[in-house]
Order: sequence, then structure tokens, then C-alpha cells
Amino acid sequence: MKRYVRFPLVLGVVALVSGALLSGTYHLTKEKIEQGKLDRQTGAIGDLFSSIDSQEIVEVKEDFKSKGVESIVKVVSDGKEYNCYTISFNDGKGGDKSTVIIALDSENKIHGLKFITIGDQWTAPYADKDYIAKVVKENKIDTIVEATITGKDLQKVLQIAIDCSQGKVRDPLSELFNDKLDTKEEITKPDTSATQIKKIYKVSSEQKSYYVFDVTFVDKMEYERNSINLLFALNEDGTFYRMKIVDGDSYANSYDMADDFDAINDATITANNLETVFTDIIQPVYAELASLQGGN
Amino acid sequence: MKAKEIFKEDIFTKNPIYILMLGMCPSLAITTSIDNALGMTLAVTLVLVLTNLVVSLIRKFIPTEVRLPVYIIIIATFVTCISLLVEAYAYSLYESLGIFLPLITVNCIVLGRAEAFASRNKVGHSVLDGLATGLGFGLGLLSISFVRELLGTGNIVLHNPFANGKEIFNLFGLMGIEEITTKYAINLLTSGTGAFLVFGLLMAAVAAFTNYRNNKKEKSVQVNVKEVSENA
Repeated sequence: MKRYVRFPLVLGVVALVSGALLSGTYHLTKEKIEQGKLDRQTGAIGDLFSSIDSQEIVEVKEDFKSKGVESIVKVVSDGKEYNCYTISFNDGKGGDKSTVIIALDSENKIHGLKFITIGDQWTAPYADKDYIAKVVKENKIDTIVEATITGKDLQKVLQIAIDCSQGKVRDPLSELFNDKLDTKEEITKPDTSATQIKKIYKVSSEQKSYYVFDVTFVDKMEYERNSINLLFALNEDGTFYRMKIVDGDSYANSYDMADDFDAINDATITANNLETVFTDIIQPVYAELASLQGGN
Repeated sequence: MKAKEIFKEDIFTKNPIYILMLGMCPSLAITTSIDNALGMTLAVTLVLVLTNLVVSLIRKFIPTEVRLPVYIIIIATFVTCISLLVEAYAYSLYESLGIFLPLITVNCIVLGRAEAFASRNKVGHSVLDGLATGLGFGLGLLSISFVRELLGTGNIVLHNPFANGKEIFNLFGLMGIEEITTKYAINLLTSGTGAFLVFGLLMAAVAAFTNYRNNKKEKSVQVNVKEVSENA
């Protein structure tokens, strides 16, 4: 009995002392680390402009903080106004986060882009200042491929900056219907629903009704990757209408808004995966839902 | 055990890299430059010394059954503290070491010395063991990084991590032949493949030297035995 008290006691004391030491070091270094971050950010912004007349920090809305926007700096250079967005993002294949500064002009055109930190050593050649400048200038973000940070990843980050500039909070469900959503109502999932189905909505768009299934699953076809979050929209008769990948690895994002299952191949999410999700998970639940609603 | 013996054993006869072959992951990954090797050596040595110190101090109070989780907590704490300090005061080093800095937590050398030495020896000896093992590890890292940086980049350049990575030494730059040497650099050596090649060659050299020395010792012992038996 004595040992059962002694073990947790020893571990508890060691953990407590460790916690105190960590907390002390954190508070000791916190200010310096924050200052360093700010200095690097200021330096990176300075690199994007030939001259800076003034700069001012703008508050970031919570909606965009959750999307990785760390700070916004309003810069006036040669009489023109720019917004510089510092955004952290993960490439979806693990590893550390990368942080990039994107400067947009008043028309939301990219003035410049600079990486402050690169999460993965393999991305370094693709985060090269001249290379990025060339790509941005040619407006060919998609040409950055064969790297951990893919064109799609960068595009996503740029989209966040543009959304932030426009104050537009993206709603994947609304986007699924080309932002023409009339009504949206969350309906109770049948008890037998597979755990992969997180939510079910009944929506109407352009005078038609649809069922939307919010599904999260892990692709196990090749090797285990991040879980993938999809929105599956079904017509009222239960046939497939459209799908959207809300979150997943960068391969998955390539197949966003795919209308034709058979066209999806050679990707982490394969056509077979989607067929399985559709036929084994969504359709049975839809059938039950339809019978329940019919019964009512 | 005398301090001299501890140093001799940990640095040379039981070198963590070339003889025990521990901590191979950072040894291959971060040895692209002497800067990185020095930074990693300093961090690992600090963790080793502090861990050995604490483990030796509390060795009599730790039940055998929970010793490993306790050691891991201690190691992880010191690694996190050092990681925060490096991020705050030597950011260029923090960036170049990257993930390998927090990965010191799972470095076999640190846990190995805590378990094999510090948990059984006095505080003073344990601290010396930590220091000596760190130096032995550093010797391995520096030798690999010296070859890789010199031949792979065609130069040896040192930076001050506490001054935003400002250049403080440029071997061939000082001689004014930097342009020529960098032209003939073998870039392969700075890649992962190069790390394995350099490590393999250096390990073969160390093994050859060790065998030569052991053979020499054996021969002299045999001669001595022969002389003693002849005299008898």
C-alpha cells in the first residue's frame, strides 16, 4: 500500500518542481522572444518596401486569429497604403509551422511575400526571396510544386490574407452552394449515425432543398494522414449533388469541389475512399433520415 | 573512479558517437556546419550536466519502478528550458538546429548516462561524467561537421549566434582564396548522403586506430609475458 502512495507522490513532486522551473524560464524569456518576433517581422516588412513612410499595428479579429493571422501592420510607402499580414500555417504533412508575411495593396493585389520562419528544411529553396518574387510577379502561385509548401498551401494562405483584408469570414457550407444559401437548419442525427458524421444540415438554395453531411474521416488507403473534413451535399432524393473538402492534407485540397468521383485518382483521397464514405456512411444514414422524416 | 579516468573513458574509449554509436540522428542531421555542431554540443552538454546533477542528488529518493518517468521529466524540463533560452538569446542557432533541439529529450546519451552513471554515483562524479560525455559527443559532432563544411562548402565560416548570426570567422575569406575553394566544393557532403559517407569514413578511421592501438598493447603484453616467463 505504501508504495502506491509513494509512486504518485514522487512523480507529483518531480512534476511540480519541473513545472515551476519551466514557468520561471518561460516568464524570463517571454518578453525577449516576443521582442525578437516583432523585430523579425519589422525587418521582413522593411525588406518588402523600398521605403516606409509610416506603419501602424491593426487589431486582428478573432475569426482570423483562428485561421493563423498573427498580426496586421498597415504600411504607407511612397504615398501608397498597404496591409501586411503575418500568417502562420502548417503544410498538412506535420513538421513545424511556417510563418509568412504577405503585403497587399488597397486593391488586394500582392505587393510582396516573405517567409519569416520555414517549418521544414526542404521548403527552404521554395521560400527563396527571388523565387517567390518571380512567382508572385507572374501571378503563378500554382507553379510552386514538388515542395512541402505547395502552390495550394500558399494559395490558401494568400486567400486568408485577402479574406482578412475584405473582412470576409468564409463559411464552407455557404461556399458549397456558391454563396447562394437561403436557409440552413441543423437537424438531429439519427442514433445509428456513423461516428464519422459530425453534423447534418437541411439547407435550401435557389428554391431547392438539400441535405448536407459534415463528415470527418481518416484516409487509410496508402498511409495514415491527417483526418479529412468533407461536406457532402445530397439532393432531396438522396442522389449526390456536390462535395467540398473543408480541411485535409494538401493532396486532398487539390480535389476540392470535385463533382465527379471517378475523376479523382492518384491522390491520397482516392475515388474509392469517397465512394466508401458516400455509400457506406452517408447513404444508410440518409435512408434512415428520410424514413424518419417521412414518418413524421 | 578518478576524474581523469571519467574524462578518458567518456571522450575517447567510450565515445558516444564513434564507439557507442548513440545520438546518431542529430549527429547526421545537424553536422552541416561547425556552428550547428558547437550549438548542439553546448545544449547537450548542459542537459547532460544538469540531468546528471539532479538525478544523482535525488537518486536515493526515487523508487526503482518509477525512475524512468522521473528521468524523462527531468530531461524534458531542462531541454525545454534550454530551448526557450536559445530561442530568446540565440535565435539564429534556434532556427538552424530546428526540431533537433527539442529532440535532445529523446537522445539516448542523456537517458543512458542518467540511468547507467548518475543514478549510481556521487554528485561530483556524475557532473564530471555529464561534462565528459558532452565533450565526447561534441568531439564526434565537430569532427563530422569539420569535414562536411570544409569539403562540402569549400570554406569554414563561424557566426555569433548571440549577435543575430553575425559572421566572426571566415577561414578562406581571410586568406583571400574563398572564391577558388568554394568553386571546388563537393556539395554532396552537405546532404544526408554526404553525412552517412563522412560518418562511415571517420568511424572506419577511428576503428582502424583503435584496432592498431589494441594490437600494439596486446603485443607488448605478450612480449612482457614472454620476458617474465624466460626470466623465471
